[in-house]
Amino acid sequence: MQSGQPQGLTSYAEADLQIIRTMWHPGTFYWFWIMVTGLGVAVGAIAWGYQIVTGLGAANVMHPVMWASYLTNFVFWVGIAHSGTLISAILFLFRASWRTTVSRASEAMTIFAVMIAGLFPLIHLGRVWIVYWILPYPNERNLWPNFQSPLVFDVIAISTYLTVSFLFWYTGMIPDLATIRDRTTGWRSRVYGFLALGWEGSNQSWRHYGTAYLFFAALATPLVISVHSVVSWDFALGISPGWHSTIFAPYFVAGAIHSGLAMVLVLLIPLRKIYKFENLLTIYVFEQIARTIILTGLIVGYSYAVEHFMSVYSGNEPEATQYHWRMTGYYSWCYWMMVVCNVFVPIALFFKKVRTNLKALFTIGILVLIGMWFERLVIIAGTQAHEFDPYSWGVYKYPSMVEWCILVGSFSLFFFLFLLFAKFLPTISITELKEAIPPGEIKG
Amino acid sequence: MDNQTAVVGTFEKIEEVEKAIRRLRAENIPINSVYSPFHSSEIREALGEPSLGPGRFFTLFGAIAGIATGIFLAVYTAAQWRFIVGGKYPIPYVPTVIPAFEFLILFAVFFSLGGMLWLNKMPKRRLSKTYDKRFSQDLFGIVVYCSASDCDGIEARMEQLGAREVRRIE
Repeated sequence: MQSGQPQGLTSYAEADLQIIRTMWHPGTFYWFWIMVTGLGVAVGAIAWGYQIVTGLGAANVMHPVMWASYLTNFVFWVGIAHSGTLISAILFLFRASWRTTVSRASEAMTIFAVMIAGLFPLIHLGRVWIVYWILPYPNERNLWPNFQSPLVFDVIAISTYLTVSFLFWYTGMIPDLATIRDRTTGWRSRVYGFLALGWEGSNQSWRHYGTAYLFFAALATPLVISVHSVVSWDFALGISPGWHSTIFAPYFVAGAIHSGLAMVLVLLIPLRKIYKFENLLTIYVFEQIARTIILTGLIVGYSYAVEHFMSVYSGNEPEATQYHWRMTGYYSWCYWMMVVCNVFVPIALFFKKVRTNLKALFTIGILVLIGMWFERLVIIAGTQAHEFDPYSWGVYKYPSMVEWCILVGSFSLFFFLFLLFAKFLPTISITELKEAIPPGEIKG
Repeated sequence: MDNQTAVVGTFEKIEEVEKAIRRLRAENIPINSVYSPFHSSEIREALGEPSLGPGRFFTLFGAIAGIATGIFLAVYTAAQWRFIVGGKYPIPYVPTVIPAFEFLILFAVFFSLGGMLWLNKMPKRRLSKTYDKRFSQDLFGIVVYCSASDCDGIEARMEQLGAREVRRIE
């Protein structure tokens, strides 16, 4: 039977045990990857420390491309963060059955990705110790952040998104933490009991919880749309050719969901194998993710085409020149990489054989992630390198060693945090899993 | 309080607990709580509860407070700066939409969570006497408070309705 429902579970206790056992004995493979990613985090931290000591000259950031790989990484990671909330909130409202087993891990992905995205403006700032200037507080000069600036919008949007995503994730986990509290003894029971806040699961508790969770989902849904729209306005509210476009908000949101879904594939396919979750993360679930990637890929492809069409049809010379330069200039190979990976590669998912082949899905996930990173680079660096005046043209000559190390560090930190999550917290919602077991399959 | 004794019936299957709730309610036996390992609309419907709790008013209040805060911050800070360009009024209205929207979401979520915790009397250090660890795992529980004279009858009724185990808690 093809469905998003868990397979082969005949009691609620089985659901508990299948999820909880993965938390105690993750195996040597797990510790190997903890070490590898931990090393990557150290590399990134050292590189950032070096940059703080020596200054931003350690990165290849110079006029005219002042926003280079760090802002590329920022937008990339914010994008990755989008699918978690999409899956947990929007699919919750639509009662999509395949959401059950993927929502928790996707939400965790969201939180870690936003945390990492939030690091990049700090890294890009150079003098990270004065970051508090962006916060709205009455300082001695009575100089407030400018609430008309998209950069301040961005700070508010990203911090709201991080806070809301975290609370959504944590609230959804409270009943599961109570289950773990009740299935353990000693210090584990005390720690999980503390985190469960005294949850008992009475009808009153579930009713208030259900109300809060529904509103969380309803509030998180427009938030998903708004956050990447606000990120896109960092660019679109500027008058630079290639940025100043009304299509940017929906285009960025679609791209964000596209990359986020790709990351869901990249995380969940190994998770399924390592934790033996074949009966929970069924092929049907991956097929549904793949179908959604087809949709987002088509929207992204359409956006690329419309951008070019508008630049020509509008008769705006700098705009048309910018788009022509993107296809043929210094970053043209990045541009074509982006088009191939984001638009043409996902077309393969129209074939059921590809959609149901996990190796193919994993490969496509990786390629889409690469494509989306290049998309950010092309948009951010490409426009600054080739603005209105030819005398100020110049290119960003790709990341320096420090930038590469920080990029590696960011990916390592992401996977490191995800591995810690997989060790200490349930990667699949236990209570939702029990809810999804058809009552007829429960044996007394 | 007269009814100091609780009778807790433990059930294995959701159909059984749903049936027991309907029967007990039909017999005017007041159910104090029903414990379940997951959120069940069947139990809620059997208890005759509405789907949404009073927590929604917390959300509404938070949303209104958030909009007000966002607009206030944007307008107040612009008024402090008084950066007049081209003779335009220093307080722009259109950009206040973004902080107002983001603060709406943020405060509504804070108040929703706060409302849920407050209504559930969480966080709490000690679990109720009627709670059983198995209720978060694989069993359901119906709690009925009764006077000493009624408890025997309620225990017997729970057993008739298919309770796997019936306990009396003083």
